[in-house]
Amino acid sequence: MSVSRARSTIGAVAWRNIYTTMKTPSLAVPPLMVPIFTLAVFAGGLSVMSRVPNFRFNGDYTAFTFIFVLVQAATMCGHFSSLAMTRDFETKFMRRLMLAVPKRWQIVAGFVVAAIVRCLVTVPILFAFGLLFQMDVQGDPIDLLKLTGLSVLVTVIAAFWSMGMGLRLRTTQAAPAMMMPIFASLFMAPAFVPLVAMQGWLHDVAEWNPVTMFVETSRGLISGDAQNVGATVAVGVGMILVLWVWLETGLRKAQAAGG
Amino acid sequence: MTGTFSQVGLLARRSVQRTLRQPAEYLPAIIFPLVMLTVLVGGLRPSADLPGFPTESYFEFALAGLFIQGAITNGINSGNGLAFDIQSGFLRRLGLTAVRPAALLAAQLSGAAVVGLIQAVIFLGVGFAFGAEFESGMLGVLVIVGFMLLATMAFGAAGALIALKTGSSEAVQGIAPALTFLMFLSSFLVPRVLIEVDWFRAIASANPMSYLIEGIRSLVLNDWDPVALGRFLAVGGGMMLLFIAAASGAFTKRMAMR
Repeated sequence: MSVSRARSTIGAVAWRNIYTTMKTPSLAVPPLMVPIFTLAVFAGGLSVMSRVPNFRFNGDYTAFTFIFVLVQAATMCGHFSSLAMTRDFETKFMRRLMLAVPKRWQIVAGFVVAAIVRCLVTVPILFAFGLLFQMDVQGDPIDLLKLTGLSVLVTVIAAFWSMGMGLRLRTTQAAPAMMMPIFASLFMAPAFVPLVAMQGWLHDVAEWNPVTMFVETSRGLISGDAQNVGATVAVGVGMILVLWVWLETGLRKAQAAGG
Repeated sequence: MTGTFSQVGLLARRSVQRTLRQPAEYLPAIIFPLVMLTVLVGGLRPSADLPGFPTESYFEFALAGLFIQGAITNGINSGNGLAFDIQSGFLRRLGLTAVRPAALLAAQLSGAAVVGLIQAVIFLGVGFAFGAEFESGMLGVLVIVGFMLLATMAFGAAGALIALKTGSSEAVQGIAPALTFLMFLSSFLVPRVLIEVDWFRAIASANPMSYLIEGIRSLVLNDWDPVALGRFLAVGGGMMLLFIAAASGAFTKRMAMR
C-alpha cells in the first residue's frame, strides 16, 4: 500500500514538473538549445584542436566535443528540474505540497524522476544533432546504452546538488548559485582537448575533478574504446550518496521554514 | 542647442549615478567576461602550439574578446536601465517635458561609456598583469579604449532600441545570450584561417563580431594593421549610427503613442 502510494506521489510530482516544463519555454528551451548551440560552435569552430600536440582520441572532433556537450546537457536537465522546484517555493505551491505529502523525500524523488525523463528526451535529440554534424560513432549499441546510463547518473548528481541549494535558498534568484559550481566544474574538465593534452593549472585541477572521469569514460564509450566504466559508476554513486546528505539537510531546512 | 546639452548633462549624470550606485548592475559586466577569459585561456591554451596560430600566447589572442564581451554586457545593462525607466513610468513623465530623443539616448550611452571606461582600465590591467605585450604600444592601448567605448555605444544603442520597441527589460536581457552566441560564431575562439569547417568559416566571415574582435586583436598582436582597424571602424561605427538612428525613431514613436 505504502509502495503504491509513494509511486503515485512521485509520479504525480514528476508529471506536474514535466507538464510545467512543456508549458514554460524558459524552462524547456535553454537545456536543449544551449547544448545544441555549444555543439555547433565547438564542432564547427574548434575542429582544428584535434591537431594540437598529444591529442589522442579514437574518432573525430565532433564526437570528442559531443561528449562534453552531452555531459553539459545532462547537468542542465538536473539543474532546470531543480529550478522548477524553487519556482514552486516562490509561488507557495511547495507549502501546500508539503502539507499533503508527509514523506517529503517523495517530493524530491518526483523532481529527480522528472530530471531523468528530461535527460532521456534530450540525449536522443542531441545525438541526432551530432549525426547531423557528421559525428563519427565507433561505439556499439551497448556502449551507447551505457553512455545514456552515465548521462542519467550525471543528471541525478546535478539535480541533487541544485536541489540541495534550491531547498536552502527557495528562490529562483538562486539559479546562478545553483548553476555556477556546475558550470565551473564542467569547464575545469577536459572540455576542448583530452586530459593528457591540457596544460598549466587547469591540467592539475582537471586531474582531481570528478567530471573529468565522466567525460573521459564517455569519450571512451562513443569511440568504442571504453575503459573504467565500473569505476566511473562507482564514483557517481559515491557522489550521489554524499550529495544525499546535502539534499536531506536542505530538505530539513525547507521543512523548518514551512516550505 | 544649449538646452539639448543641458538635458544631456542632467540625464547623463542620473544614468551614471544610478549605474555606479548599484554594483549588481556593473559588476557582472566586469566579472563575467573575466570568468569567460579564464575558462577559455585555460582550456584552449594548447591551440597556440598549432602551426599558423598568430601568437605563442592564447591569453593575448583571447584578450580582444574580453573587450567585446564587456561591451556587450555593458550595452545590454544600459538598455535594461532604459527599459526599467519605461516600466516605472519615468519615460512617460519625461515625455511631459521638452526632452529630445537625442538627449535621452546620449545620456543613456554616457552612462554606459563611464562603465565602459572602468571596464577598459580593469581589462587592460588584467592584460598587463598577466604579461600581455601590446604590439601597437601605448598609443595602441589608448585606441583599444576608444574602440571599446565605440563598441559599448553600438551595443548600448542596440539595447536602447529593444527597450524602446518593447518596453520590457526581459526582452532586452533576452538579446544578451543571442549576442554572446553571435560572438561564439565568430573568430573569437580561433583565427578564421584556422577554422576548418566551411560552413562555420562562412558564418564567421559574415559575422560583424569577427571584425570587431579582429580590430582590437590586431592592436594587441600585430602592431598597426590598417585593414583590421578600418574594418572595425566601418562595422562598429556603422552599427552605432544605425542603432542610434533606429532608437531615435523608436523613441519618437513611443512618445507619440503616449
